[in-house]
This record gives sequence, C-alpha cells and structure tokens, in this order.
Amino acid sequence: MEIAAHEEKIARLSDLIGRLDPIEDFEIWMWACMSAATNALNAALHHLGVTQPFDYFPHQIPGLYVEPKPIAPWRWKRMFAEPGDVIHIGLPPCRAPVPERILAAAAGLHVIEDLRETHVRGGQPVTRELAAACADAYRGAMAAFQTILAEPGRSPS
Amino acid sequence: MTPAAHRAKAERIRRTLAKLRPSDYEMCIDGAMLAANHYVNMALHVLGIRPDDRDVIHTEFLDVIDYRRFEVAAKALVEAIEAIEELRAPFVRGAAPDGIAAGERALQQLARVEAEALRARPLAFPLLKYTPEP
Repeated sequence: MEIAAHEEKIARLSDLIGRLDPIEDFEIWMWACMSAATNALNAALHHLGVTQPFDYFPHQIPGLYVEPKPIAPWRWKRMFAEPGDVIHIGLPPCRAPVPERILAAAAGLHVIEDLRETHVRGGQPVTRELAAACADAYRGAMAAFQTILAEPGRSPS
Repeated sequence: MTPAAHRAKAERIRRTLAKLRPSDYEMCIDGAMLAANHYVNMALHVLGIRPDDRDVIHTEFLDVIDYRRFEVAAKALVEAIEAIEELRAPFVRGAAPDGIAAGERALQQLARVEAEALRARPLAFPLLKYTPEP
C-alpha cells in the first residue's frame, strides 16, 4: 500500500483513538493504536526502501496476500507474493535488512501487541496503569516512526 | 476462558462498537472480528470441540479435525465469522474501495455470529482426541 494510503488510515485511526475511553473501550482503543502504529511501520519501511508499496494486501496467514480486486461479491483471491506490507515485524520477513532505528521504533508497537492475548483475547482486567503504559508506548512508537518518515526517502516509488 | 467470560468480553467489545462512526470502518471490521472470535470460542467450548483452556485466535488456526467438526456442528456460525475475517486484508490492512460498506457488513455478520453461537448446545456424543499414527 502506498505511503499516502497508510497516512490516511493513520489520520482516521488517530481521530478514533482520541474519541474512545482508554479503559472503558480498551480492546478497540488499543487495537486502533496498534493498527495506526503498524501503518506507520509499513510507511517507514517503504520510505527507507526496505519494502515496496505493492498494490496487494497482506493476509493474516503470514506469507499470503490478497489481490485488490474482488473475484466475487465480498471474496478476494489469496496468493503468495513478494513481501510488501507486513502485519507485524518479521511477519512476513523482509528480504532486505531492517535498519536498527526501525526496530527501535517498533519496540513500542511490541508493547501494545503483547497486550492482545492477555487483555483483548484474554480476560485479564484493564487498569488505569495498563492503559497509560499502552498510551506511552503508542506515542513513543509514532514519534519515532514520524522521525524516520521526515528523513530523506529512499523509496524507489 | 469460560463460555460466560467469552460472552461478557464480546458484549463489552460490542458496546464500544456502538460508539464507532461508519468512517471508522477498519475498527468496525476488526472489533467485529474480536467480538466474533469470543463468540466462536464460547461455542467451541459449549459444543465440547475445544476445552475452556484452549482458545483459538482465528478458525483458520484450528486443527483441521476440529475445524471439520465445527463446520458440521455450526456451519452458519463458521460462515459468518469467516465473512468477517475475509474483510480484514482488503479493508483493514489494505485500501480497497468502499470501506464503509465493508464495515457495515462486518457488523451484520457479527449479529449472525452472536445468534448462532447462542444456539450452541453440548454435542450428544463425546469427542475423541484423535491423532492417527503416520
């Protein structure tokens, strides 16, 4: 997906994050933080030329992508393809080395992702401290990705 | 997680879904996916296909033998959850056009998932944990 498309999603997700209550709405609030940060990760990978913004979209089965045009109403063709957008760092693995500053920026994203099993798919209680830690991780990751996106780009596109 | 805990979590996520706008379609889809998978786990536990301590993240990650059993026991439920999952790549991770319609579809399918999951009852026959010798 093109960097502009990632940025458009980040803008709408950021607006939603501001409208939700971090505790009462924790599950979707943290998921929106994670989704926005993953879009920022992909934009940064494209910007530095680590991955390319192909026009097919990643499936939740790592390694599979779907074609953008449906093959039937509400059905899309799945395929193997050169990795473009990732769903998480390392899923699928990038062919090119991932710069250390992207791995460092993704550390906050990992903090958010680690809450999925325990507090979204699992039933551990959501506390004010947990939401604050998630918000800090989100702000840190987004600031770091924005710093990378402000660098001169190397993307061939 | 117990079936009751899954249902409570799904209902909590649904309360947040009610606050979203159509333009929040990525989280309409992923929120529906999260709530729906809690209903899926509730049904799997009630049916006896998976024990309470073995939740699944997505039906695609079920063992094939359990997936086949689930299709027979709750075909409409499997179809509805997979209709939600199908929307994630093109509209949540991708930029396919008409995301708002996709978000509405996800919420409609979530209502189907809930209705079908609440119909689940324990199977009349105990299920064998079956792993054939190669």
